[in-house]
Amino acid sequence: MPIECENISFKYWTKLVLDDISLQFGKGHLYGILGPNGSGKTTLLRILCGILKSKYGQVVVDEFNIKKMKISDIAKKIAVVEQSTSIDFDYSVKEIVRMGRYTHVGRFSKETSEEKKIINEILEQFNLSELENRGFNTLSGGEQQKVIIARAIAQQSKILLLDEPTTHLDLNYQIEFMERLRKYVNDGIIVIIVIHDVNLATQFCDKIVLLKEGCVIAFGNREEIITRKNLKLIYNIDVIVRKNPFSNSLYIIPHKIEFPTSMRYNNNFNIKKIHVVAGGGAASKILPKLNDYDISVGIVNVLDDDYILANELNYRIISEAPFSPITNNSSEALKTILKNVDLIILANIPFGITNLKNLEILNDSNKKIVLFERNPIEDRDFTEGIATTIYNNLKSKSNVKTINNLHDLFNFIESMEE
Amino acid sequence: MVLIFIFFFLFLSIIIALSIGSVQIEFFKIIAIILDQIGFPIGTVWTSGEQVIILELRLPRVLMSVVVGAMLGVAGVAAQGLFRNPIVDPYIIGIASAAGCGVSLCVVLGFASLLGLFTIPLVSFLFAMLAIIVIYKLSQTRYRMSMTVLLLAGIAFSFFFSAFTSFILYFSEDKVHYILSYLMGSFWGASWVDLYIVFIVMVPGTIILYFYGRDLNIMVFGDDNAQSIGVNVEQSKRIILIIMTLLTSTAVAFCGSIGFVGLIIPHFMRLLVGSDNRKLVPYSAVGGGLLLLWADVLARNLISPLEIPVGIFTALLGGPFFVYLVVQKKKSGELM
Repeated sequence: MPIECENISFKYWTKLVLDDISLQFGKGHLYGILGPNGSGKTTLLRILCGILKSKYGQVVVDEFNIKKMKISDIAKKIAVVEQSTSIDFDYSVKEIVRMGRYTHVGRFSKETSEEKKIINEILEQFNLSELENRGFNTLSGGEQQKVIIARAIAQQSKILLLDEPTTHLDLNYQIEFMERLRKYVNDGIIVIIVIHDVNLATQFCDKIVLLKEGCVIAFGNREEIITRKNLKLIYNIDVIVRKNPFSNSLYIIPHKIEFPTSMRYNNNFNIKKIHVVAGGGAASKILPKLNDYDISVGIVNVLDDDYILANELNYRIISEAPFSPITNNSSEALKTILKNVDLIILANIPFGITNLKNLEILNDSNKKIVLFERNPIEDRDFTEGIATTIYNNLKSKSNVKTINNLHDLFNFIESMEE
Repeated sequence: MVLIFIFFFLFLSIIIALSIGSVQIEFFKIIAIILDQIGFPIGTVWTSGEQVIILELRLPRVLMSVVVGAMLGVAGVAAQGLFRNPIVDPYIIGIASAAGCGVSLCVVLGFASLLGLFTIPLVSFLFAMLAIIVIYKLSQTRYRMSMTVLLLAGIAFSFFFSAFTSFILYFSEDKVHYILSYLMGSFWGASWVDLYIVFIVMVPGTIILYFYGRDLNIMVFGDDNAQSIGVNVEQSKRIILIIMTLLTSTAVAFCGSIGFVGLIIPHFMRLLVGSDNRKLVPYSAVGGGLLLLWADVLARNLISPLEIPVGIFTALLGGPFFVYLVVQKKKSGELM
């Protein structure tokens, strides 16, 4: 492996910042180091490039122990872009890019024409040629970032470490920047970035290290690492992990801060059981807020938006294959569940032949039912009136209540507790 | 190109400076005397009195002012680069005040001529070194030499030594003038031997600093960044600090603490040629030389035969000129 760390532990005075970390970084990957503030991300990066030296464990670069390497030799192998950059003396863009060539030009030798060519090529590659004589301090944050990256690239190292490089960049620059990093990866450079934007990391990094309190929680391919469980573990927040339909990459949506579990389960044996008849995303605003109850959802088709959401939220689901009508098996399952629930919520779903069975089963139930009605049933009836007839019958029953907005719905659910 | 031009200007200035004084000596005589000395005899057209004035009095003094100016200018570049701060000068870490304190003590206790002519330079050099070594030790932290501690300790030492010097001055009525004229700095009584010593320190110091110019450039990004670019930061810092200390304390030892050159010259040159220290070092050397040369001409001639300490003039000249420069820059929009 070109760069790896073995059993690294690091203390600032008495505070243990990194605890027994072993990682290997290989060619062809863009690595993202994720973790909450104070988890030791930056410290890890600084140990990897030899700026900090750990007493315990070792960093090995191309089979050399980094502690025994000369500073100039490390710089030939590893280039670093640190978090913030400000300078008190103004240097021109070209002068700064030239600084990256420090180890390639001897102290007493003159800059060759070969060197000049390399610098000009890099300036061109970053579209900085027109700015080459501008002072660094007169540039915008995005341009400054570019110059610093260009300087690091000028080192022509095989490993590139970056500490939160996208923090000061606008959204469009962030994407452009991350794509540039992917290009370097394809050129055979190992790129390791510390990043706090989970979505940006999951979109562009193919390998992810999750750090918490100085320990590696998980390390591997992003699909295995970016899960609801892992993110909850390190950020203590509930998220929904989705696949971006356009890029096929993962993205997350945080939706609620986790309450201590004791509040939810341990002290309360009387958790209400609620069943939600969902579909087509009609329950997307309802489901996440019902975290405190014992929830079941169905019958929905697999891959339906509400199915995915309920799955993320770890609710019990009665499901059917995509686009197929409800089978007897699932009907029976639903009936069994409904026998034990305290409340049934019928979301504002459209009815077709495939999911009409839901309505029929509800019609036979004598449990408390809430019809969450945003649009009249006629507008969402695609069964030529069958659904409307059953729905209206249902509506007229004494155990059924119709509610038109979310606020009233949640109030009603809460009032059930007393 | 510009450097060649100002070198020429420096040469011209030296000739002109040699001709100015209470005794008027024509240009051609000055050139003839110098040519004669370096091995091109063109017939004696001067009196022996004129020869003594030029060779023994004016020439060493003029050259001394140029060399010391160069030292302070270069040391200023080192200080500002090292501390990443455009408003420090080489005296900031207490070199001048430690030397001044040592000399004051020495004079008051009556040891001023214990070791002959070199007593004062030696004492001031030793005191400066002592202060620097203590401050240097203080600034060592676990991984790095902390420039912040170095600066703070230096300023604290500066105040301490200045206070001690004031204390000595207060109780030494008869020697106040002698001590003060040293403290303010002057080239009075510069000899060829002094010049050789100063020159021997200045030339290698400037050359080494020139070759560390790139390190200084990169260090503007901070120690960690510089290290990741490949600079052996701790070693470079140490070398640059040693060069700066040697240049400054040698200058202070022979000529007292001439202020303002080390602050203003790097600043001025940065406005002219940019921040690249490899340009700043040679330019500041020549610029510092020029500034002190002319300041000294004024110092010894303005109310001749009385002499004014040259340090007063550097400040009088440099201050307004610098303000003018800043205003110009502001007008052209280069300064916000």
